[in-house]
This record gives sequence, structure tokens and C-alpha cells, in this order.
Amino acid sequence: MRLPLGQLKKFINIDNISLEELDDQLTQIGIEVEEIHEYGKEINSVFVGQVKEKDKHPNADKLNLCVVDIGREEPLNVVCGADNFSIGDKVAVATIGGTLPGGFKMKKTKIRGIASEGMICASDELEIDSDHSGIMVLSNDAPVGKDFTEYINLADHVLELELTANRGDHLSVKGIARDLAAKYTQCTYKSPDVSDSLGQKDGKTSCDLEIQAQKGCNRYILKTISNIKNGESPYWLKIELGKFGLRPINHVVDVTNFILQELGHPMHAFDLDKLKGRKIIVRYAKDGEKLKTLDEREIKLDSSDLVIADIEKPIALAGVMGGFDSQVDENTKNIALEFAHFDPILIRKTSKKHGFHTDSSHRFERFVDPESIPEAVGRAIYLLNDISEPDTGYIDLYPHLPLIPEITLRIDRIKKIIGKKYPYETVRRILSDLQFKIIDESKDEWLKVQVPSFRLFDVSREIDLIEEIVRIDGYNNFSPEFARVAITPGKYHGERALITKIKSNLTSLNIDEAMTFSFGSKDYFKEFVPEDFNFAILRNPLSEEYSTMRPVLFANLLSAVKKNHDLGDKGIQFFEIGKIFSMNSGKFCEHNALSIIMTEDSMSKFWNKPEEKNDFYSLKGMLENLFDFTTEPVVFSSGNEFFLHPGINAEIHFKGSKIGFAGKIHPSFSKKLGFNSNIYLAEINLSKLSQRSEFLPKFTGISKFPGAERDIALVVSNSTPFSAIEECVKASGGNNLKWVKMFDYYEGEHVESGFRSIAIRMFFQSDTKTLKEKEINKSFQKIEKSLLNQLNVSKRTQ
Amino acid sequence: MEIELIKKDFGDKLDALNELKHLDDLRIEYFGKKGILTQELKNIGTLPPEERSLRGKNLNELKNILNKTLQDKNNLILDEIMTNSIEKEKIDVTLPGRWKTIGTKHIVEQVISRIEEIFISMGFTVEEGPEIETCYYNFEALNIPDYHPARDEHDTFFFDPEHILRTQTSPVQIRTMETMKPPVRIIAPGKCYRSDDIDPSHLPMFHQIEGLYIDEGVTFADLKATLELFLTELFRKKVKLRFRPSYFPFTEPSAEVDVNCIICDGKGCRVCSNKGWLEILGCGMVDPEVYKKVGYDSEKYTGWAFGIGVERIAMQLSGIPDIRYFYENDKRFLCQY
Repeated sequence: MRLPLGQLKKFINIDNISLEELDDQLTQIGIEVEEIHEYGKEINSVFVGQVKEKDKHPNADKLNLCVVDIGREEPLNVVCGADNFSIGDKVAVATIGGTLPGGFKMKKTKIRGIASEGMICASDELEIDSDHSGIMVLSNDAPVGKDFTEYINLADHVLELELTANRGDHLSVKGIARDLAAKYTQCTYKSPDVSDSLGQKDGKTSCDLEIQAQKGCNRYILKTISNIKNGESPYWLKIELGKFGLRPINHVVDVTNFILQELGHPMHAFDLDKLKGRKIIVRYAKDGEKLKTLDEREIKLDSSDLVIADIEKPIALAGVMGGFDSQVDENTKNIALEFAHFDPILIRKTSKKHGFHTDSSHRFERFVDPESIPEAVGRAIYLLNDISEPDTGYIDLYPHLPLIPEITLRIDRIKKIIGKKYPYETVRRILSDLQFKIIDESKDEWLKVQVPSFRLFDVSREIDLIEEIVRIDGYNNFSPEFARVAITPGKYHGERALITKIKSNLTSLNIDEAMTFSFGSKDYFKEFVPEDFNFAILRNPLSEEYSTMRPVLFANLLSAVKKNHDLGDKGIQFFEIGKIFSMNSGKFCEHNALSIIMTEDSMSKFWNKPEEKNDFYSLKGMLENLFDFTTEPVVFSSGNEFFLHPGINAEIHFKGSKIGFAGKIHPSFSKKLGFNSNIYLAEINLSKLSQRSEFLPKFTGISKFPGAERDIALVVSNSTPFSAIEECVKASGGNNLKWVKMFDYYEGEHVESGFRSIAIRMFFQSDTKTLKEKEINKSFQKIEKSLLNQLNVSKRTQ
Repeated sequence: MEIELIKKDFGDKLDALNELKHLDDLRIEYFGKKGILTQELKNIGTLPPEERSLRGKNLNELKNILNKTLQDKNNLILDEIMTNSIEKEKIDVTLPGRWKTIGTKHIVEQVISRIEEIFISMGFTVEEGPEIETCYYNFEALNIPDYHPARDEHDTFFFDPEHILRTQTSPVQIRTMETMKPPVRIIAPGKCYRSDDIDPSHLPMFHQIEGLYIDEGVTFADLKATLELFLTELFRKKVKLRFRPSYFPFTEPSAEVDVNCIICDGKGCRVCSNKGWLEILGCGMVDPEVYKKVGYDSEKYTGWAFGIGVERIAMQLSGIPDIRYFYENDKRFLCQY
């Protein structure tokens, strides 16, 4: 909200307070000052002048040569194109070296051969309005030589405020001043100038009013004004509206807009002669009724929309926007002014539904004080006084009086919440300054108060009063102090501990962490899941590109790899940990997953050493190292993910169940995604992994006795996996077999096609004695026999 | 032969030598089976008995001397060889080293970990919650009813009228309190989502860390003390805090906390828009409505909550001008941290 300082000063006497301090104090009471604009600072060296001479330009019929006194020794010679003024008139003169809005710099110029030492300004040139029909003629009492912006109150500071959603009462100059007055007890709050009387309740009105709606409209005051001379607003009003960021329209509309900013009361003016039946009805719309609003949109209404109607049709969307057909224009003669209180929730529903957000709906949604409506009526009559004769009567329908809560505040409760003891007198004073009415009290113990009607939206409980006390006393007016409590150890709960461990292992294994959006394009994700996959889909995404929750982690991560790939970085090893999402029988499911992607090009290319390319076994080895903390090892077996290369495709198992996959991305996908090298990827469901819980594992002993190795070279069918050999060796090796390792691998020449040569080494050792040659040989022969009998292998002969 | 003559001949030959191989030849020439010295020793037997003793003594002395000289020369050559090879092995130690680098954690993760570390050290546990939330946990239970203007600040992604992407980490407060009796002392980091269009300061996905502490005797003063300690640890220097009244539906009183700008020390600079303060987090005392929702006795227990935006902290700490860098995953950005 924009708050012109000049306006604020009308309500509260803060002349002795610096702008800096005001900024700070407003912030201290919860009114954040985002920015302070120097309004009118673009206008420089414009002075009030008086026209002394006015003659026709010798070379141009339409130009005048004027001599203008601006209070200097020598008057100025000014060429002027307008003719709407006479000798003796006061005008605004822009002088050489000065500036005007839009960065316009005044320079000495010759117009049709005659030098002009300045410019007599039209109001549009000063951004007061858009009128360029003539120059601006000032009132007779304008002091010659005075700075124009000062004279006309155009120079001002405008504070840009950031307000909180609960304080509807802050949405006006008056509201800010009222709150500030509770902080600045030395400054007095002053009510605005209003007309003494609204009229008599039984006096004449030119229009009838009926509230048919049972709910939604809590109060409605209707005031009619006849024989109005509507037209342009006076300059002061146009200037003040400009400070609020509004454009002048016509006098009546400008007054309604001004009162909304000044007092926070949305009001509306109807052209009475445009209403059918001279009657205003507050009712719910009929399904299918239509309304053309002021912004010339035609909206379709339904029975949940509260409207203002004449006897025929809706003429305004209540509290949100007026109707086009009943609007006040410069020819309007008779008006009906609406001052109402509408229900906040109702207004919010309606404005959301129709996509409106107006100054009026913004305030009604945040509660408008029904009790101060008469003040707004008085203000309107006062401001329209010059151009109208109000009818003697008015109508005030008040079907729903507000419930005014009474709250008891316990003094010791404040200390319990805040930690600071507030003296009884301080509490009492602050509440009174905030216009809470003290209706009962017990000194030093408790106070019972009535909430002022302008605070009904945000104060209803004891805690709300406590907030008020601390807010006005100052949030920075009490010291930090730790509560005295028992110490409990902090720790991770749930999967976060596991994730932290994985992240630290992965980075030490030279993998960089990436983070991608949790959503993406459905069309893209479809490539990576079975056809019957149930996506979690957003109803209101930013765009299709971000419409669907990721069903797998690697899809978006692949895009991140691709991006770097395209930037010329070919060696990429990325991981990401995050949630993946799906739907399962109508329920939303999410769990943490880990994805790792590596390109074939290694990240570490070293000088003077042959480059090592990444392959499936690099990925696998990395994964085996990564999971050194699990309760059981992860196990790989042949897999069949359709987006992976059919032959380089592994399932990962943990405790007997599948937790993920690893492999090379299918060449067809690789091509589709635009990679020109091999990409390896793995994805693992972290919710199924478990971490060793003990701090230190049991000591397993170290044998004191020598051990011995035995090697065997086998020719193995491609259909026999290495894991089968390993298992067979372990199963038949007996207690003394400590480990088995593959140490050589060969396929190609000298090995029959469909077979490969695998050399394994076994190590035998006992914990209790030195093994004899005979014992070792016996174990080894047993293994050899099992291998040859159980598997499709033979001993390599050469 | 005369002792002196043998000695001189040996000395001349030895001086002419500088290779180990030739040294060995010389040793054989004198000490081998048919060596000069061996021969001389054998010849003692042919001398008259009265001369044998002296001749034997002299020859043995000579043998020892020659052996020693030979050994010295041997050592000298070995030393030379080592010196030469050391000279040859000299390398340029400024050539690049060869080892795999260490991977980089994402900057957001680094900030979260650091904040977790600090709070764990203060006795907080780290909790998590779902990212697809219900309106109940994200709004109603947090005292943000339907059609309240406070919802304006939460541009929400919907799956259906009941399910949304959480707009804040605050639902974890409710989920934790539902399963736990006080004392509750938790932080909850995680992703949040708001349907903000992407620009230099907005993304539809970001991270928050929620803090919650409820027990008997927990006050606003404690909140201040805790945050002061936390931020001093995070910024690694004593910070000045400013609390401003604000509004969050699930806390009362509520506050925004500013920290004196770490770039300019509060003097005013571009980062703090010349204000000297940086807005760092929102916090407040847990609202009685929230206790009501989870069945806590608000007369007995009091407590506070806070929420902090991770990307924003990272941007301030590191001077990152555009939030979009975070999820573009350009390695040139990621690997700076």
C-alpha cells in the first residue's frame, strides 16, 4: 500500500519526527516500509508566476508572447501555445535548467524566431492529470515566486508499505495513523474533517434500499445526492490520488477512490438515473444472470454471488466491482452512494471465482469496520460539498451487528509466553492506547477488555492481546534468555541419517550432487515407465513442462547430464537423492530414491597415463563401495529394464528383494536423448535399505597361522555367470577357505566362442593351526570337483 | 716382489679405474686363486725359514691395506652412481598431480547439513514429512482456514481439492506433534513448492527448514536466545538480530527476523538494498489453535516455531545473484561449492 506522508500528517501530529525514525517505528509495530519514494522529485525549478503581458506571436497566430513575473528581478519572456488565460492569472512556469516528469530537461529555445525563457505548464506536463487542452491556471492567492510543487503539495514522500494479511485495519491512512498513535503517545491522533450531519433517517432520499440476502451484507448505508455538477476534480484531489498511484476519473469517482485510501472504506457511486425503478436491492444473483463490470468484462453469475441490483438486473458485484451500465460519468446529475459492510469470506469466494482483485475486494476480504461507516458517509458529503446538494435523508440498514468479544488477560500469562514481566500499568496503558475498552480489572492480576470494532478480524483471544502488548512495547525491548530444560541428545530420525551417509560416501567416490525439479513433462516421463503407470499429476501446473511428479529420479537427472554434455563437459558423474512419486489405488505414494549417472568419458583424465573409460563395472564397483555401511551386501543379478541395454542390465537386491537397477542406457534412448557416447545409470529405492545400527561391529579375530593360495583357470560358458562360480567355490570350500577372488579374465582368440577364461584365486587358512599341504590340497580338489561337476566349466589346459 | 712395488702398482691400477666391473677384475688380479698377492703368499714356503715370518707379516699387512683401499674405492663409485641417478630423477613438482577429485555436495545440501549440525548439537532431532500433503496439514491444522487472505501468500499446486504439494515445511510440526508428547524439539528440512513463475528470485520449488520447540516454560526470550546462537554459528560471527512484528497464522506473536547485513556489517550495500538489515527468517510462539488441533494443553505447554528459506540463506552467504542457478545443474556452478 502507498502511504503519502502528507496524508499521514493530517491524522497524526508527527512534524517533529524524522523520516528515518518514522520508517523505523512503523517497522517496529509491524508495518514494514519497503521503500520510500520522493514523490514529485522529477519536477524541479517550476515556480508560481503571474502573467504580466500577453501578445500575439508576430510569426504565428496560435502562439502567445507572454511576460511572466516569477518573483525575480527580471520577468521572463515566455512563448506559450495555449490561450485559456488572461493577464493577471497565476500560472506554473518551468524555468531553464529545470526538469519535468519523463526526464524532460528545460533548455533555452527559440520558437518561431523568438527566444522563450521558460514554459507555462499544462497539468499533463506536471503529471497531475492527462489534460492538455490549456495551461494550468492557479488560484488567485498563489504566491508568486514560490516553488510550484511545494505550493500545490505535490512534493511529498510516499511510503510503500508491506502489510500483513490479518490487519485489514492497516489498509488506510487513518488506520496507520491510529496504530502509530498508540506507539507515539506524545503525538495526538486527529479525526478527518467530516460533514456535521448525515441527514435525518426519515428525511428525503431519492432511492429505495432493500436487503434481500439473509447473509453476506451486514450493513448498508445509502445516501443520495441530487443535482450534482460532476466534472474534473480539483487539482489537490488529483494530486493526492496520484500519490496513491491512482488516475483521476471524475469528481465523484475520485472522491470514492480517495476515501477508500484515506479511511479504508470501499464505497461505490451509482448514477441514479441509470437505475431501473429507483431502488437498490442487495440479493444473491440468479443462476445465469450476467453483469458487465466497469472493466468491460461480461461475467456470468450464479446463486453464490452477492450482487447489488435495481429492480431489473444486477448493477454491481457486491464489494468487488461496479457495473458498467450504472457508472457515474461527467454527465451524471443524481447519484446514490453505497457504504456497506460485506462478509469477508463471501467477497473472497466471489472475487477468486471471477478472477478479480480490486482495492475494494482486497479490503472487504480483510474486514472493514462496520461501526465507522457513518464517518465515511460524513467524509463523502464533506468532500462533495462544493458540487452538490445532498438529499436530507439517508437509509441505514444494519441487519447483523458485529459480535464484540470480551477478553480477559492474565498478567502472569504474558510472562509465561514472552519471558519478560510487564508491569500492570504498562499493559493497561498500551491496551487503552490501542482503544481497547477496559470493562473490568483486578490490579496486577487481570484485565477484561472489549475489542474495538476495527480490530474484530485479528483480535479475539488472550494471546492476541499479549501480542499487542509486546508489539507496542517493542519486540526488541526484552532480552534473549534460554529456557532451563533437561538435555536430550539431538539426532537424525528416519531416512535422513542414511541419506547423509550416502551423500558423504558418494562425494568421496568422486560423484557430484545435482538437484532437479521434482516435476517434469508427462510425455518425457512416459518414456521411462510401463504403460499402465499411474502418475501423480498437478491440476494447475506452471506449464506442461512441469505438470507431472517424477516417477523415477534418473529422468530429470539425465537432462542435467545432457545439459553439461552439450556445454562441452563430457566427463560427468552425477547423483541425486530425492522423492519419486506415483499413485497406487487412488493414494499418493512417494519415497526417497538415489540415482547415479556416469558418462563413458572418465572425469579424471591424466597426463601420461592411458585414459580409463567408465563401463558397467565402474558403476558397479562404485555402488559396492558406496554401500559399505549396510547390514548386508547389495547383490547384482541380470535384469530386464526396458530402458537399459538388454545385455548390460542388472537388478540390485538387498536382503532378498529388489531395490533397484543398474546398467547402460539403451542405445535407442541414448540416441533419442542426443547423447553420442555411452551413459551408465543406476537407481535405488532408499526406503528399502537399512544401515548397520551398531557403533562398532564385533571383532572377528586375526589368524596367527600362515595360509596358502591356490589358483585355478577355468573355461566358462557365457551362460554360466561368475556369481555361480563364486557360490559354488564358497559352498564347497569348507571352513578353511577364507576368500575367493577373480584375478584374470579373457575372451577371444584361443578360447572357444561362447566361452571365456576365468582365473580365480582361493586362500586357505585356519584360525587354530598351520594347515598341512595335504589338507589344503584336499579342500582345493573338492572345490575343483564341484566346479567341474556342477557347472558348465572345464579346466583351461594352456 | 717388493712390498712397496706391489703396493704402488696396485695404487696406479686402482686410480685408473672408475667402474665397478673393473674393480672386481682388479680384486681377482690380486686376491683371486692365481692372484698376485695370493701367489706371493704361497711363495712364502719357498723362502728360508728365518725370512718367512717377516715376509708373512708384511704381506698380510699389505693384504689388509689393499682390501681396505679396494673397499673405499668401491664405496666411492657407488656414491657417484647414486649421486648421478638422483640428479637424473629430478622432476618438476609443479606439474599437475594425479588423483581422483572429491565430488561436491549441492550447495542447498551443504547449507541444510550445516544447519542440521548446529541444531543437533543443541539437542534437536531432524524430522521429515511428505511432499504431497493434504490441505488439512498444510493449511487447516496450521490455522489457515479456507478463504483466509493468508492463503494469498501460498500459491498452491493442487492434485485434487484435498491433495497439494506442500507450500511450507510447517505441516511437519503437526505430524510430529500428533505422534509425540512434549518436550518436542525438532527441525524439519525439505522441499516446498509454490506456483511462482520462474524469475531471478522465484522458483516453483525451494527448500525450507522448520524448527519447533515445545515444552513447559519455553518463551519468546528463549526463541531469541536460540536464534541468536544459531545464526552466530551459521554466519561464523557474532550477529545482531532485529525482531519485527509480523503475521503467520500458526504463531502468535509472530516475528520476522532481520540480521545485520553480513556483507556491509549493517552500513548499507546493494545486497541489503541499503537498509543494513537482511530478512532471514520468520518465527513466533505457537498459536493456541495449533495446540488445539493436536490435543496439547496450551495452558501447560508453550513453545516456538521458525521457518527459514535455504536458497535465500545460500544466496546471501555466497552472494549468488539469481536463484535459477540452483537447479540448472551447470557443473560450473555446482563445483564452486
